[in-house]
Amino acid sequence: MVWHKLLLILALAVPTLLGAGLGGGCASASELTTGCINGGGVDVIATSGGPGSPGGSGSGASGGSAASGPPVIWKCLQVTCGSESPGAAPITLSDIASFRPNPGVQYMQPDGWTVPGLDTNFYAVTDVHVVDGTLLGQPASVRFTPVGFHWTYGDGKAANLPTKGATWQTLGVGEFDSTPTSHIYANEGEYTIRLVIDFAPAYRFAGSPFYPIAGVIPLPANDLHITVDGAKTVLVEHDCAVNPTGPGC
Amino acid sequence: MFASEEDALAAAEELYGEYQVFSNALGQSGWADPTGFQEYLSGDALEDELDGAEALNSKGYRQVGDTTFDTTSVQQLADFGSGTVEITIYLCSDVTAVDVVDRDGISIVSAARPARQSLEVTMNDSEGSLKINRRDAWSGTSFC
Repeated sequence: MVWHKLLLILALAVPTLLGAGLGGGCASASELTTGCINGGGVDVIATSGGPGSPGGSGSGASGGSAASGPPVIWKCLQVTCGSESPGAAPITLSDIASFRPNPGVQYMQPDGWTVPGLDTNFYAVTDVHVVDGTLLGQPASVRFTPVGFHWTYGDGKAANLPTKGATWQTLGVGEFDSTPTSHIYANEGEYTIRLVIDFAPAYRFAGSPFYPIAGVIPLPANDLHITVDGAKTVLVEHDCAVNPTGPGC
Repeated sequence: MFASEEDALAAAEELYGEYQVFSNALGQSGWADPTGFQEYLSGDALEDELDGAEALNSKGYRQVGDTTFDTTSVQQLADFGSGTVEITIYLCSDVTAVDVVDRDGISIVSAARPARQSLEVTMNDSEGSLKINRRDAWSGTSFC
């Protein structure tokens, strides 16, 4: 039912454009023109931003728009003929390019320094969030869920993790304890830690549930810079009276 | 009917290849007479192609270049007894070289059309000879 509503919305919004498509009957005619291959569905071609007559940029899948007139966006929406479920979401990552997820922020414990051979706790602050905008000319929302965390630690090591991690306090563990997102530096030195967070998108038009979109959007977080120093040096350089946040204070 | 999965895949590839040759030639003729699809297609696949050809022909569209396919593999082989078999294969359909133009020779192809698509194609011989009866986009992870 949702898909019929969607069709109605688009038909009302772009009444002249449906005629430009190849809809009508459960046909596979649009396979060569839009890449939509139906699986028992009706292909409805909606466009936005262009004149009534469809334009194009020639064969192939390269980007770009027609030489004359504004760019035309084709989108084939599969409306179920029978009892088949919507299947793969018809909206792709390129359709939601104007929706941008909020980048996450990474932190570390201790803050800015650590000791070789001990666990340094890295964690990210990010969460599921919804961005509103316009999709195919209609008000729509895109929900971004952080699903992958790619840390490179600057020492030649990297980790792809499914969790954003948390502080030692939140995890209820002690300082320098191992966490799912901690890392041990073997050698002294200055390192830059980079984090890229993968966001899994889902979209919805007003009143409909969220539908997942295939793929993820990788987005860099802030860089961190760390000094890894010998334990002896670190411990004698800090005076708790002078630096209450120093190690062991 | 088939001695091995390799034999089944070979038969499926041969049939799909013949269908592809016919489909390309038909498109290049402006989808004038699609009845020849009956030799390669049955059921839903035949209906889809006949409807599609009619829609494209009525608008005066014409195909330029050939669709090709590659990366075939057997997904499932079923024997229903009494000599009826069903083969489901995966393949990658490639439209990189294909354009569709209108009467004025202007391309009507969407810039967003993917060049390669993962397809799931089912064939059976319930009508006597092996024919394609379903040809769907594979909704799982792309293997193309």
